Amino acid sequence: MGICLVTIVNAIGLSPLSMDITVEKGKEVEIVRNIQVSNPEESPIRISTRVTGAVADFITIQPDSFELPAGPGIRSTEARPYKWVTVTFKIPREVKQSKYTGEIVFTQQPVLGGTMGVSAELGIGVSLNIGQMALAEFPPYILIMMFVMVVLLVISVGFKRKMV
Amino acid sequence: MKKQILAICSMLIVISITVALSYFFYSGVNAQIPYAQPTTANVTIMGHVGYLIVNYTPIVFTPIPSGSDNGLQPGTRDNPKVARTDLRPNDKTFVRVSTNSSSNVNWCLYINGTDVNMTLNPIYQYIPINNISFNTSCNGSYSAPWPTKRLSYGMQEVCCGSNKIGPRNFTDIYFYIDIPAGWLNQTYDGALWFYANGTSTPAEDNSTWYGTRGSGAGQGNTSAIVRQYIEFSLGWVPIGFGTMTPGTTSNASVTPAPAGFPSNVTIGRATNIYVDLYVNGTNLVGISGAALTACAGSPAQMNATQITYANTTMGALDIVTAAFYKTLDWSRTGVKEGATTSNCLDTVTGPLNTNWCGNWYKNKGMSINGTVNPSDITSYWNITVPTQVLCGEPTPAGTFKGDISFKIVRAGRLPDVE
Repeated sequence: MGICLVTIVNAIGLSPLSMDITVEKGKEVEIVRNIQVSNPEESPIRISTRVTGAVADFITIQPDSFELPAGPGIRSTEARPYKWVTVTFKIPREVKQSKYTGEIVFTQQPVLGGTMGVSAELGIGVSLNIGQMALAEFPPYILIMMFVMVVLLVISVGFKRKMV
Repeated sequence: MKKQILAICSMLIVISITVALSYFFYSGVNAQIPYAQPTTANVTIMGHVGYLIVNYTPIVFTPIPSGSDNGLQPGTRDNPKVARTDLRPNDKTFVRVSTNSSSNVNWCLYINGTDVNMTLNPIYQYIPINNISFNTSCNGSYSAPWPTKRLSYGMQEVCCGSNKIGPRNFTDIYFYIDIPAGWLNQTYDGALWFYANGTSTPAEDNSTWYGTRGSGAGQGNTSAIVRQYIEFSLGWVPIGFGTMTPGTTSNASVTPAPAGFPSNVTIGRATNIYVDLYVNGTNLVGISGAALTACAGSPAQMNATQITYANTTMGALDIVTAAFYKTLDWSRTGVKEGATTSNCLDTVTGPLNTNWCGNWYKNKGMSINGTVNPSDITSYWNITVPTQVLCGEPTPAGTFKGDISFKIVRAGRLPDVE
């Protein structure tokens, strides 16, 4: 019986490492954020993405799978090739919870050909907070003006009746 | 009545005389003023650069509002100046340098600046000034592609010679910054100055400069935030356990030849925060030979807990001691339940998760001079082949396949956020 644990170079780099999104309740909102995914290693890599947790219902990722060219090496100070990944949050008007969490996971595809695939993963924690519905609030001078108008209306009505 | 008629007539007479005299003196025919002589007024107008006007500063390279997770990724080049309209209305992606209305000569533009220092501790770390580059058309003097130059402490010529800028004219300068790999998640700022004169004499330095220095420039004019970044690699080659007999244990270091032994997980040089490392995997499934159909026609499976690993925090010598091996947590969906987090490494910083096990190490790959010593986490792998597979049949001959996933997270954070 042959058993072979196969691993060859897998690598991945990522930023930012978390996203906190707060939106107002009762509004349909679309928010776009960007993530940089890098390849530090000296061979090309292929990355796939997925979203976990309850927040997945509101997120689309573009592209969800892509390749990165070879980088300068994990020990190098040189710049790494990277790709921007666009994360779009679409929050409908009606939502049940006040907070949704999850993770955007980037996985370097395991290299095929061995009997034991090994993959590298990095994730971005996502927190979507649904705030309170905005309340209409009039400034004080509007309230004062409204009060004065009501008073004048009452006086004028009373005056007219007296004239009659 | 007579008086009134007389007054009206007098006014008409005065008006008539005035009109007649005006015509006499200013008409094209008789416009000569008696006794007036032609004369020459000599006025020498000095060449004057005027003063510089610098718009759309400071030069902010951070595209979104600051925060611990926002900013620029270390190990990236040519991050452009951004238009931060949230900070300044009508901000642009360039800096516009012009001379004011008193300017009447073509002028040369020069620039110099300082390193972009960490705001909290400038001595500790800085982005070197030559990590900032710029280009401009000199308002059309250069045809595209515009030459890209790098900033320096000394004066840099931006537009001069045949690329002088016209009086009261302007040029838009585009700036870019390279963020070195591994630079800390901090705010950095530096200074920048613009200079102009009307000659082609190269500017030597600030003290000998004769010209005009741009307003609106100075300390804090270059600003960048470096955000948190992690990277790692699994730098292995195939590890062969070789052909094994059921009921035996094999270590890659002893059987067979240690190809790729030990295995390295490397936290990359650009990583600028502490991280925790987790590992996960699946059962081993038969993919060839009798193992492919050993369980009533289905592939045989071996509990993946048969695989154990150790890392350098335990020391290389300990790999022969089974007690130091840490069993993988296979409780992830689709694999055997029952492994507990108590099997995981006991030097854990962050909380463990039932889906992931490990937390081998934490690393902040940063030294005081801003360079990074990448951290290699050496791991040792071991497998015990059971005498029977999960369906109860004797372990068949064949090749078995499984998957292992590695994940690093910011120290203390759970590897799965559900």
